[in-house]
Amino acid sequence: MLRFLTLRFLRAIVTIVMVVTFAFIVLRLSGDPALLIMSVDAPPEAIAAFREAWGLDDPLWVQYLRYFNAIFHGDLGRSMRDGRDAIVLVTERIPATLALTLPALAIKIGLGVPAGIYAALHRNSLADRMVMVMAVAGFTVPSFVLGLLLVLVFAVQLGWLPSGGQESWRHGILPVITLGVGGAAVLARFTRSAMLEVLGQPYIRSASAKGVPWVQVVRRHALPNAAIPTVTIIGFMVGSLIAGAVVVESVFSWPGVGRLLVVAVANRDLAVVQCILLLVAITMVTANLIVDLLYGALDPRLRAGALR
Amino acid sequence: MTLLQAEGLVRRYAMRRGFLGRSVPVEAVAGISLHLRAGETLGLVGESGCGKSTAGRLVLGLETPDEGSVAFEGAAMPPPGSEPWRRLRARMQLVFQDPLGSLDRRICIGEQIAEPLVIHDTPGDHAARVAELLRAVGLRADQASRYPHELSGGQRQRAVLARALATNPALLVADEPISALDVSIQAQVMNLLAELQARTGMALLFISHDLRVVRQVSHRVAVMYLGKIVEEGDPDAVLQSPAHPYSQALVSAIPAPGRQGHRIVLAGDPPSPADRPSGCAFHPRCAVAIARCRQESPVLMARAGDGRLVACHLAHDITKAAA
Repeated sequence: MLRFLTLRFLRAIVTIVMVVTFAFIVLRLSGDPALLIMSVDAPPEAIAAFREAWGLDDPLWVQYLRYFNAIFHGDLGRSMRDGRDAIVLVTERIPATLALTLPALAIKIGLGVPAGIYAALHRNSLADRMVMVMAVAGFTVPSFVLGLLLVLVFAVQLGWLPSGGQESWRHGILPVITLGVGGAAVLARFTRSAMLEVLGQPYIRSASAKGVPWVQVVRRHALPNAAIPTVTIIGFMVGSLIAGAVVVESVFSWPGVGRLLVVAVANRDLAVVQCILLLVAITMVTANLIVDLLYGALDPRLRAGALR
Repeated sequence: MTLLQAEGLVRRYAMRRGFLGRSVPVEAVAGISLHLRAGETLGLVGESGCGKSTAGRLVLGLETPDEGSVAFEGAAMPPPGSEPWRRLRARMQLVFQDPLGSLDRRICIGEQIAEPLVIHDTPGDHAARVAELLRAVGLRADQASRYPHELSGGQRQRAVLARALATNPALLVADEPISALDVSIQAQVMNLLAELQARTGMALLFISHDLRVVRQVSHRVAVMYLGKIVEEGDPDAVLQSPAHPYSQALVSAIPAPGRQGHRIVLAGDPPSPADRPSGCAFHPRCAVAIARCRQESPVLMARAGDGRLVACHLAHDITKAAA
């Protein structure tokens, strides 16, 4: 078990390093922050001074090593815009993002999983068809379309809810629904197919042939087995708690991490973008690690594999 | 005493033809009767798709026949899902081909073997009963804590058997129970089945595509073709002198050392119940079919002379001519 954990942990570290490296290189190749921040018609001396101040005049590999060295000393750099520590800028936005993504995750799981289970248990019934039509609609409509649609109906036409901003909890309703519905649709489809797969297994037929009441067949044999693939998808959703709301935050002018990312990328605010990407990579990797550990609890075969 | 009496079973499925096609009723089982006495083994043989598995499910009451009736221990089969039907599950059990699929991979086998005991509120010490069952199928009592993936294929099928036998069923339907096992293990499981039957006195409906396997364990054998029984009788007699042309083809396909020549290769497409040929369903592939076979469906009846049940116009005519 310890070996398994160590191995997974090392793999997680490698993944994070790769993400950070990739982000570092791409950001530096895709535009000059000095020109963007200082504006193009600034005097060349000023631009040169800016480059020197931020170390942008050094070769790329020197910058890269300096950046990594700083990370290991807990320094994630400062914003080129306002000079504050990037990590502070980012962390003060996290609560706002979680205020959207956590309730949305609850909707995804609370709506998607039961809908998928119900549809599978009543396969080909009217209810199943309706759940599936809604699920297909739910994940084919992009979140910005759904978001704008909701704004049009509930903010513009009916005037029940605000269209954007973060003044009260009522401002959060539309973005949370927008985020939740799409995820619930994905989860419903996934849960349904996982359940159908399991329900077709001989051990399910064996169980009912043994005289196990259907409710118990579902609870004892079908649900725990169908949980194995479903947990993977939920793991991804947990992993995207921080970065999963970029589009929705932009649509609803919600001051979260996602909007900070969009602005920072547009401004080539290197330290901020890198800080966010590092954070995203860490949450994603951590979520995957938890999923791996959950697998062991759900599936004895993997438990044995992990022990070996 | 007749334990199981199934009369004139018909089971139709709706099959859709092509994309958006209208659905056509298809007879998977087209009128068969099966009888089993306590302690008796009936071998049901036929190629895949002939309806033999459906027949097994009908007999167990897992599906309701569209026509015909099943009586078990003298009483009509209660409707599926009802309380009497559920209680009856303890008396009749089922073993599938795929032992790994038949076991819940998340639960250790001891718990799975105990599940029928728990469900049916069997009195007594369940742990002791599980240990006894494990020993009866040739596993060790301490293997109760193993998970399915920790056992070999043969051990898994033994565990499945132990689970099926937990409630002392009077009838066991074994649907291709050894087809998924290695040849070296097949014989072991077959012997185990025969031994368990001798000890418990249960009746066994043994479904297989392999005549040789069926012959080993069966007291009687029934050959199925496209939803109907075409021949039924003593296994040795059927294997030595098959009466129906289809049985003859099946027997001739069994490889035998030293035998050469006369292997009957069936012409034509394998049959589909969706396109049931007129008259005798076998006539398009039959080497000796006559005009009557195309028009008139033969009835399964006792042949003059030895009383073997055959559904073939010619078999009866031939015996008549010989007599």
